[in-house]
Amino acid sequence: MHISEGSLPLTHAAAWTCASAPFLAHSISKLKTLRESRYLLAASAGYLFTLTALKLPSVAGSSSHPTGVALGTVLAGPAAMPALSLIVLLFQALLTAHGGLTTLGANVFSLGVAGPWATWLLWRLAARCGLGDQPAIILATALGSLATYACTSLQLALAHPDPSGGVTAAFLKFAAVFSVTQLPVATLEAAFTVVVLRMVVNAGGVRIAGLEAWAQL
Amino acid sequence: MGTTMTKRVLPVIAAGLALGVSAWSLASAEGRIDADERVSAILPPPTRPAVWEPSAGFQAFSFGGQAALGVAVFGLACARLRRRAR
Repeated sequence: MHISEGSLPLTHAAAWTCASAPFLAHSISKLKTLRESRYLLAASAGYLFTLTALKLPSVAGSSSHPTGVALGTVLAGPAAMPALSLIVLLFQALLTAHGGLTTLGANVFSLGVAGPWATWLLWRLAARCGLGDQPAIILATALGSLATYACTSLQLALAHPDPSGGVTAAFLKFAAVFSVTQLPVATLEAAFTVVVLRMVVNAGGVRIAGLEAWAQL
Repeated sequence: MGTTMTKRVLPVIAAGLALGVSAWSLASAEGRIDADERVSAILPPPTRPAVWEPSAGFQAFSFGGQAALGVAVFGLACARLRRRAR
């Protein structure tokens, strides 16, 4: 989901930066109020750092990394994720040449806003529909990961519409390329996230809204 | 005290090293194309060059370092959570 330097026109890059800015500002102020949960935030940041560094092999000779935003979304809420995503994306843009500085706003929007909010909404919706905790988180994580890539596909499609089919055709083209690789990776990430989430909740004896049954207090 | 510290920190260091080496190995593996690169290949050429383009070796090393750092932060945070829960 990392849009590399120069892949977006400057106007698009600026627009996505403006779109991310309020979420980022809210996230930073939210982190200040979440001082009590700083270890949960640190665990979420560590998980995000680790998972986005793993280029997992996938089908058809491709590889991709999990998004790693689901753990933080469940533990600290989606509002906390843009700031954590910014740290990871800045690290990667500067040290691994993955992503870019002008495209940072667009990448923060897909990884820090679209992915976490999709995960959170799907998790709450699935829980409300009576799905158990575990299946709800698996479903939300997998679809949230795919939502991140769908957002990137949309960003690229808006910047580079197909000459004949327009934005829709371009979106489908980019989404098709991503989905081949990302479907297995998202499924694996979903299963792994549940295991790690259970570990954190049990280790810390923390109460997470919606996961009360998991905490062994 | 020292033993407790060792018990807490050593597994974190070991896991960090293991995942760091795994991430470095996965990033430096050849023969598989990253999904982002696949998409970049069908895009028009970038209008601006990257501010800094590190070598492939450095990139792989950075991915390894990132994973190791992530595991260290995660592990230490979990250790603190466990301690606080007690």
